[in-house]
Order: sequence, then C-alpha cells, then structure tokens
Amino acid sequence: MAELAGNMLEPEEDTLADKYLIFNVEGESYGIEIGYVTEIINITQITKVPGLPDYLKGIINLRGSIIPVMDVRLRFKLPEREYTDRTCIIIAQIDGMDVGLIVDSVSEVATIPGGNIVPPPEINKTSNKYISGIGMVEDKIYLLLDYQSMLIIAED
Amino acid sequence: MASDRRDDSLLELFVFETVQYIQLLEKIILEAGSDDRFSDSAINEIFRIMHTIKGSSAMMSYEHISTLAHKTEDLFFFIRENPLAEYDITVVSDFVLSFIDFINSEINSIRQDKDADTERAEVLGRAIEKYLTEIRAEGENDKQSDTAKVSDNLYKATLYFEEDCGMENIRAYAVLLELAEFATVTSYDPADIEESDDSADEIRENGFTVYFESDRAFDELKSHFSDIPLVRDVILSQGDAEDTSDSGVRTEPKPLEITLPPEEKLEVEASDKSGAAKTEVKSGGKAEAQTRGKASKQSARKTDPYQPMQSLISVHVSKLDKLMNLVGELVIAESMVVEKPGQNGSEHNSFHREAVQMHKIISEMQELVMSMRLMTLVATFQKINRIVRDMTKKLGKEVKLNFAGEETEVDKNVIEHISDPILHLVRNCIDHGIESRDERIAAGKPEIGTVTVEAYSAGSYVYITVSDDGRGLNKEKILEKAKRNNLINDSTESMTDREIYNLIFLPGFSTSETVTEFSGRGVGMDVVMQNIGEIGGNVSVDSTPGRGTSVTMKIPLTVAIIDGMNIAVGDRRFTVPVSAIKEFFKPDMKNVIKNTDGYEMIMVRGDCYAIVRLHEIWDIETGVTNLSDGILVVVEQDEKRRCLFVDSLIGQQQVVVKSMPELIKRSRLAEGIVGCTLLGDGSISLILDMNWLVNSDIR
Amino acid sequence: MYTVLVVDDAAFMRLAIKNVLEKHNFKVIADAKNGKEAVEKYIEHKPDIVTMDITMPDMSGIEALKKIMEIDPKAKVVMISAMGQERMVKEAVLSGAKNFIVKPYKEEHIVKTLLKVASEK
Repeated sequence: MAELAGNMLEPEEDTLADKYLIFNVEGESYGIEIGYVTEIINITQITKVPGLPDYLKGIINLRGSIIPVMDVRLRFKLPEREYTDRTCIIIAQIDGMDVGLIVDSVSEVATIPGGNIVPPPEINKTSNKYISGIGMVEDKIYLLLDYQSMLIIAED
Repeated sequence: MASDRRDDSLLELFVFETVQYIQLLEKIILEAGSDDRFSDSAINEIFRIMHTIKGSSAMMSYEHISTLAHKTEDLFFFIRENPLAEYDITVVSDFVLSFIDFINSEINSIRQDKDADTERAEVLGRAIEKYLTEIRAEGENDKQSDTAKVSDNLYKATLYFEEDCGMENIRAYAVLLELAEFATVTSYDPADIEESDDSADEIRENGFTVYFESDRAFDELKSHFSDIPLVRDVILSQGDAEDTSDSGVRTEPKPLEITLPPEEKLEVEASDKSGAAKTEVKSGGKAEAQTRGKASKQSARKTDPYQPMQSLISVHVSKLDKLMNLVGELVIAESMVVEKPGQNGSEHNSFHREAVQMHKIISEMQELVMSMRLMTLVATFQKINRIVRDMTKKLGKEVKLNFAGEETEVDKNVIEHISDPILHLVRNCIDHGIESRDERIAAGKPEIGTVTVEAYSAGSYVYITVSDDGRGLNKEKILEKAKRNNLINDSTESMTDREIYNLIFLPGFSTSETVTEFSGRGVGMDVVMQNIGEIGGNVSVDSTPGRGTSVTMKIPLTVAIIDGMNIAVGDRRFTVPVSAIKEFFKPDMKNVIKNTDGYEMIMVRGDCYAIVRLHEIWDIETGVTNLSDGILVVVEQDEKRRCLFVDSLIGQQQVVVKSMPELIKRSRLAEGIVGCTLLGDGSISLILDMNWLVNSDIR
Repeated sequence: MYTVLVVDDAAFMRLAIKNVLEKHNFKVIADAKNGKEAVEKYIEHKPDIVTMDITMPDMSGIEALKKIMEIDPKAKVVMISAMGQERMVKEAVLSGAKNFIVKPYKEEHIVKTLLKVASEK
C-alpha cells in the first residue's frame, strides 16, 4: 500500500493524464482519476455525525484535518460489509472539498486512454448513476467514477 | 507543470494586488463624494493606480484591461496637468466607478476561467475618450497661449527609474555617458552621483534631472530616454534652463501627448514636502503655480492619506490558519503536560512555577495569533457606501447612510460570514423600508431617509444593527403570509409583536410583493439567519410601524478557540461551550416530572427546565439511560435554559473550533452541530449548537 | 528570438536566469562559470547578448567584459551585480557594458532590460 500511495504522490505532470486509481467494490473494478487523489489510508476510527445519510459514515481525523467519509458500497446501495484490514479510504479532493471514499480494496493505477472509454449503458442500476464511462484495457473492464454526482447529497 | 504553478502564483498575485488597488480607488472616489474637484493627492493617486493596473494587466496579457486603464490614465493626466480645466466630478467619478465594476467583473471571469468582456471595455473606453476630447476642447478655448520665449535647444529631462532596480546613481551616470554622445550636458541633479551612493536614494525619491543642449528633435529625445532600460518615467521639457516660475517654462504642447507610444509614462511624484516651489515648476506656468500653491499647501498638511499602508504586510490566510492550528495543538499539549494541582499529590514547587510561566506564554501567543485574524469592518462599510450610492441613484430615493463603530474588530472568518448579510439588510432597508419622498413628506418625516449601520462589542459578543427610519414592518401582512405558508399554527394571540416580526426569518417566508433588482424576493432573510448561525450568532428584528425597523445580529467575538466542556454519551464525545453552562449536577429523581406532552422536566430551585436526552435524539448506544446514572448540565442561550442529559463529564479544556467539513456544511445536514474539535487522544468531539439545543423540538 | 550567453559562477544563478529568460523570447545557447570560459564561449557561439556576473574566479566579469569588447566592439553585455558593487558597475559601464541588473532582481527588470538592449541598433 505504501508504495502505491508513494507512486500516487510523485507523478510527473505529463504522465497524470489518463491514469486512474483502481479500487474494488463488490467484485467490480472502479476507476477514479489520479489527479483527484491525495492519498490512500487504511480504514481508521470514524466519528459518527448525527443527521447524515447512511452512506456518509461520519468524519475522520487525518493529521489534524477533518475529512468526511463516504461508504461507496452504501452509496451504490449495495449490502454493507464489515470493514477488514484490506478496506481502504481514498482521500480525494473534488471541487475544493475533501472527501474520503471507503472502498473494499485498492488494486492498481491503470492507464486508460480516452479512446478506450465508452459511455455507460442505460441499465437502471443505482451504481450507474455515478459512472461516467466504461474503460477497457486489454481484457479488463473498469467503471469510471463520476464523482461530481457522488457528492450531491440530496436531503432524502 | 512547475511553470504552471509559477504562473498560477503570478496570476494570484496579480488578482490580489489589482483587487487592493480597486478598493483603494473606490475609497478615494467615495471620499471625494460631494466635492466639486478632486484634490491633488486624489488625482495623483488615481493616476498612479491606473498606471500600475495598465502595466500589470499588460504583463498578464489582459490587453483590454490595460487599454482601458490607459485611457482612464490619460483622462487623469489631463486633469492633473490642467488644474484650471473644467470637468464634472460626478461624470468622472462615474467613469472610475464603472472602471472599478468592470475590473471586479473581469477578476471574477478570470477566476472562473471565463472569456474577457472586451466589448464592455471598449464601450467604456470610448466614452472616456469622448469625454476627454470634450473637456480638452473646452480647455483649449480657455487656455492662454504661453508667451514664453523659448530657446529651442535647451532641455530639461527628469528621469525616474523602475522601483527596486538598484544603483540608481550609477544608472544616472550611464545615462549621462550616453547623452554626452549627442548632447552637451549643462548640469544635473543630484550632482554627486559618482561619489555618493546616497544619491541613489535621492534619485529614487525625486528622479534624476539633467539640463542639456541638443540639436535633436523633442520626440527623438523623448524616445531616447524612454528606451533606456529600467527607466520608468520621463519628464521632458523644452525651454529655458532656469528653474524659476517667472520664466514661464513651457510644457510640451498638448498634441504631442496623444501620440505617446503606450510605453510612455509621465508621472510626478506627489511630493508632500515643503518643496512647494518644486511642485509648481514641474507643472510649469505661473498661472498654474497659483492654484497649485493653494492645493499643495492643503496636501502638504495631510500625511498623504492615500499612501498604501506600509507598516503592514500581507500574509496568505492559509498560513494564519496553519499557525492557529498549531497554537491550538500547543494548547492541548500543554494541558496534557501540566497536571492539575491537587490531582497529583507530589507536586514540586519549581515545576508548578514553570508550568505557570509556560501557560502565560502560550496564552499570550494564542491571543496574539487570534488577533492577527482580526479585521475591522471598514471595508465592509465601504462596500455598503457604494451600494447605497448606486441604489439611491437608480431608485430615485435619497438615503443618508450613518455608520458607527467601523473600527470594531472581528475575526476574518466572521467578516466573511456577515458581509453579505449586512449588505442584504441594507438593501432591504432602502428597497422596502424607506418610503418614497412623497410618502415621507405626507407622514411628516424628513425627506431624506436614514439607514444606520452600527457595530459594537459587549462582553464576548459583537452586535451589528442595521436600522432605518422607514415604514416599519406590517404585523398583519407578516401573520397572513406566515399562515399562508403554513409556518405557524393558529395560536397567534399569545405572540408578542417581537415574536411576530421575527417570523420573517423562517425559511420559506417572504413579504415583498415584487422582485426588485436589488433584494430579490426577500429570500435573503433566512440566508442571513443561516450565515449568522454558522458562526454561532443569531439575528432578531424589531420594528415600530411608521417609524422604522431595526435588525440586530449578535455574533460571538472569537470563533476559533473556546473554553469547552467535553462530555460523553455512549462512546461518542461532545463539547459544550463553558460560557453556556450554568451548572451541572446529579439529578434527584424526585425533582423530575413528565408533563402532559411527555416532555421530561426537572425542577431546579423553583425553575422548570426541559431535559434533552442526546442518546435518544441521536440514537446513541449507551448504558446510561437512567437519569440518576448520569449528569444533567444546565445550559443557557439567549435567556433560554434546558438540561442536557449526558453519561459523564470528561473535563474542561480549551478547544480549537474546527468547522465541519465543506461537504457536510454544503448539504446542510448535521443539525445541532456547529463544529468539531480534536481531543487529546486524537478522537473527534462534536461541538453542540447551543441555539439548537435550547430551541429545537426535542421529542 | 535572441541568443544569450549566461555567465555566473553559481550553477543556481545560471539556472535561475535561464528559466526566466526561456519563458520570454530568449534562448540560452551557452553558459560559463568564469571570465575565461565566458570569453571562449563568446568567440565560439557569438550570442546576441551576454549576462555577466561581476565577481567570479579565474578572471572577473569586468575583465571578461573588456576582453569581449576588444574582440567585438558591438558586443552587448549586461552586468549582473550585487548591492555594494557600485564602483565595479561604474567601471563596467565605462568599459562598454550596455546596462546592468542589481541582485535580487525582479523578473520583469531583467527581461525588459535584455529585450531593450538586444533590440537596439
């Protein structure tokens, strides 16, 4: 994990494009543009905050900064799983806001050129709301995250 | 890309400085307000600002801004060089204000990466040029032709070098060397450029002046000087080398001004020194000297109020925030290191002394850091001035604006939250509160309405009131609207007037019938409430029909570090501001009663308080559910009291308030929490919102 | 696009100047770390303009300037000096330096100065 995180933090400018951090939730591989990722940490103590929707688990203390964390499983309306030592929190900065995404595990950094991406199918799966496209590299399929939509917290 | 980062910080600096200049510009214009002419120092300062913006925007490739600044600079150059010329100060002020608005909007576009509004710049530029032509033409008619007898070959050139270019005296020396190749140098000032390095200072202040004789044409000489690297300004005059005002030194004929290439910069330092004679001569002409004399006396008196304050430096807010965080952590660390007396029996005197000393130092540091974030309300009030001016023009209402307490200092964070609310309230007053002239006269009120914005601090709060002497609030209309929007039930008979007026802060409320350009549909009121709530304050309103309305915002002085009492409910931690705690105790069950609605209450020395069970409201698991197993904390906010039921008290400590993360704030969830803080063990404690605690429906 | 020879004994300074200049219309075709190298590189590359640090080992900037002016009277050399070197700057100016920049310099100054000097005549 440390090397992975290490790789993340020293990219050369020209090589940032088309690189995605690949993480797993319920067996599917998802990608988030590397440029948004600031670090990856192991699952840690989460302080619950009253009044939040179920997928917003609460807040964590990251070296003095308070970061809200979102359980991606619950966001995708998948059954909740207990956190293991493989569970990670991807700290991303989007639109100036810091967010921690709780995922089953993180696997690699993949390069997915624009030409390999197709728009998502119209299937009415909840998770598709948050997918901006499908990337294909060799025989692997990655669901690329549309984080803007993930961050819209409706007052249900 | 590394260079992108460099460019980013360059852009940031450009934006920051330009905004500063614009603010200064606005201040100058507003202060000139009702005068019929600009003061000399105002003209000079405006000129200087235009000049600077012209240069920096050109460097950043914002040509349209640079060109517009140039045109405005030209206008002010004319005004400065022709003190006798007539101009309409209102027209000119409006041009400058339009310029300011334009810049503000372009800065926004720049920040949002939008396109430049070149058309707007061009339209404004043309208007300014047209006006300049008009007043110039008038000036030509009035101007007497100077009958100075000139000796065409004699010139006087004063050069100013770029700021901070260094070794101005050696530069002057180099200039002389070059000049000597095609001209005869008669004399120069300062004379000791070769020997003394102090002459560099003199040159920086007053420029380097050289008198010489040359066959070359005026334009050629001008170009020659301007082309010298790092020469910022050139003032070239032709004629008698004598320095007295009698000889009628002629300044270069007007047509030449227009043909100056964009690089030409002409500037006279606004010297407020006793060298009044010097100022006169530089502008040339005896007639001018007379009016100048009066003006320079006036400006010599003031210590140039437009001097950008030099004893201040600007610091990036993120650095201040980091510093604050560190100090906060230091405070926590201190409390962990220092044992409370009495808890540990073996306490050494010297340790105690040292601990006290350390505490003193840390407290002082804390106070200092917090004071660094303090700003006055001056800028905010200035913004209001501007808005009032614009609004009254458009609405045809005359409104007088009164300010009090603008030197009151508040935390920067607070200013950011109250600026918009105050502006909104003022707009409301003018738009809806103050009646039309006719109505006012009919009601026997003075024609001109008054809006007063007052700020003062009392205890640990800052109060800001916005009041008007207008028509006041209409109780019936408010009740009607509230009922219509289902905001209240029918038991309105028992409501006091104040309670009725305060209904306007409820979300979903609105009393104005029409959407006006300025205040929307009154949708701002609940936003005002929310903004103030975010910094732990509250808003209230009072009114007298026919006499006026007054809105008061009460804001806690320092939002950053408070004395907090940490409490435990289950495995969760919360913090209550100590200032809100009246007392705490273990309840005696026989004092606990349940009323008909099922609310739990407790009697404390004759008073009855509702009990708030956090673990029930927020579904927290805890073994402590019997009141007698836990602790009741009596909290008070705005004279309302309730009892908070908690498992236990962890302890009191100085707490650094961190606001809730942006994502959570934006989604407006997490009611009841105003922020969070880190405890000594790294865990997070949520800071309870006292307003919510005493007001919310707790069942 | 003007070609530049950057002369300074500090590698950092050479790089800093190079970075600044290459953002504007200049190309640094060579650099030198002392006066002797400066003269050699000038002969070899014939740059449009030279930035010359004053204090350097193995032949100072002043000496190098003089040598270069001997070889090419039309050479355009701009001195880079520190505060307190007034006498030397004066001597440089007398010896033919076209202009000078005082450290710490503003990016704007060095660019404008070099542009003006390079584009003259």
